[in-house]
Amino acid sequence: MEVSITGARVLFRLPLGITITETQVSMWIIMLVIGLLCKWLTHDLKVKPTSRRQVVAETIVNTINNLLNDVMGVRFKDFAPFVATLFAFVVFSNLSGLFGLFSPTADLNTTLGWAIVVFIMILSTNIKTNGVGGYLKGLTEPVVFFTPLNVIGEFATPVSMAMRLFGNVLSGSVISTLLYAGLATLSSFVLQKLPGFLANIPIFQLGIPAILSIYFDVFSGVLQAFIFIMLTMAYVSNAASSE
Amino acid sequence: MAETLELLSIDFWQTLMAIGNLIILYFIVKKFLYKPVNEILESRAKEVDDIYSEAENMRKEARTYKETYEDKLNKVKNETDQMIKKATESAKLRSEEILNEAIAEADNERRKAENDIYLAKKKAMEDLSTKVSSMVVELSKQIVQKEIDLDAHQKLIDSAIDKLGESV
Amino acid sequence: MDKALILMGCAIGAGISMLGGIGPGIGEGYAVGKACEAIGRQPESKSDVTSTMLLGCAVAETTGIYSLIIGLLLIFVAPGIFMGYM
Repeated sequence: MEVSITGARVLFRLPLGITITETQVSMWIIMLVIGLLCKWLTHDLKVKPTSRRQVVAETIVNTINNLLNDVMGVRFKDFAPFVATLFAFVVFSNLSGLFGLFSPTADLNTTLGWAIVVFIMILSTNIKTNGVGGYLKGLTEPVVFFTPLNVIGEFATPVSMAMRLFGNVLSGSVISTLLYAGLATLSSFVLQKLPGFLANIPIFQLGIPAILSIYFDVFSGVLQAFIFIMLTMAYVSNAASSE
Repeated sequence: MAETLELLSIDFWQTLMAIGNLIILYFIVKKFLYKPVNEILESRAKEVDDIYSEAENMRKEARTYKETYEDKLNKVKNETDQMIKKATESAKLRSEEILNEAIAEADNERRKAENDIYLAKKKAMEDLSTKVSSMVVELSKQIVQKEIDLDAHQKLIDSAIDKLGESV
Repeated sequence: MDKALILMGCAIGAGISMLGGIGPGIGEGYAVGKACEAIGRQPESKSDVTSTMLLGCAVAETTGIYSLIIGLLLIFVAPGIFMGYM
């Protein structure tokens, strides 16, 4: 019984060192699904809602708008599509493990990329609010001696965001894999006296991993997506408030 | 076993692709979810606004109508009041006039009657006095004649009485 | 022998690094307990308290995640690096 915990499988390599892995394929599939879902949800909207589809679409938009209003205030209204995108992408990525796809958020590159986007947003919002000088001055507060710590703190934001998402998803999948392997070992140990293929019947792998998967994939996945967008909104609105 | 990435590896292109995918998805969501839904929400808000403003207009109109009607009603009431007042006044005036006329007429009548009565009385008195005097003259004449003509006495008395009867 | 030593050291290090999971556990438990108290006192502010608590838990969890990353690095990445030096 070999247990292997590795990153995404490399499907093929392109020149310039570009590798196409399972992560990319999963991401494309997820993007396609989200795009089609959006298109399907909004394909014939009416002023008086007649279909349940439209109610769902409006509920999604309104929920995100209300959340944004609560956390960031009215002036970040244009931020809503980004937050919705981020949430949808993270949720679908976390749940894609359920459908046998490789979860893009279990790849550090993906979460790091998204966290870098969020970091750029935080930075640009901060600079837009305080100006470059104000931002650089903010790094030296409260005293000049703290500047290295502040710089590290600035960079810790995207790193911790990326690591949080990645760590949660990966720990879920690692624990699932380990448990699965352990249960396989247990069932083959229990059934080892039986002849032939009967020894390979996975009696323990049937129910227990499903329960764990509900926690790690569904609950934790949605929760981490929520936390990711909440942190994004909190950081950006914090950056927008001048010091 | 296929080739895999390290569990914790950072690849520049992969990170860039993740960023690119996020941005592409952002535009997809913006175009396919947010734009139509926002349009619908806006048009609904506009419709609601329209309905509200329409209702407001109708209320205003109704209020103006009400005011006009109230004005008209007040006017009519005033007019009627005035008319009634006028009518009452004129009726009062007329009745007083009639009364005064009646009183005056009655006065006139009475005066006339009194006058008549007075004249008649006077005339009667005059008549009476002339008659009495003439009767006295007649009587005295007759008394005188009787002494003269006894035979004619009876005849004279009769004629005198006749004459008296005629004159009275 | 050296390989086994490196693997052993990495595994022990990963195990020790996971002691960092204690902190977030205690901290989050405390935060959730306080949130429950707050909800008990003011049930009408349940949603606010819950979202704030989740955000705080996420931030508090950072150290635990860091220790997990260190553990994963020690198990999956560090042996390769160290063996490369040999």
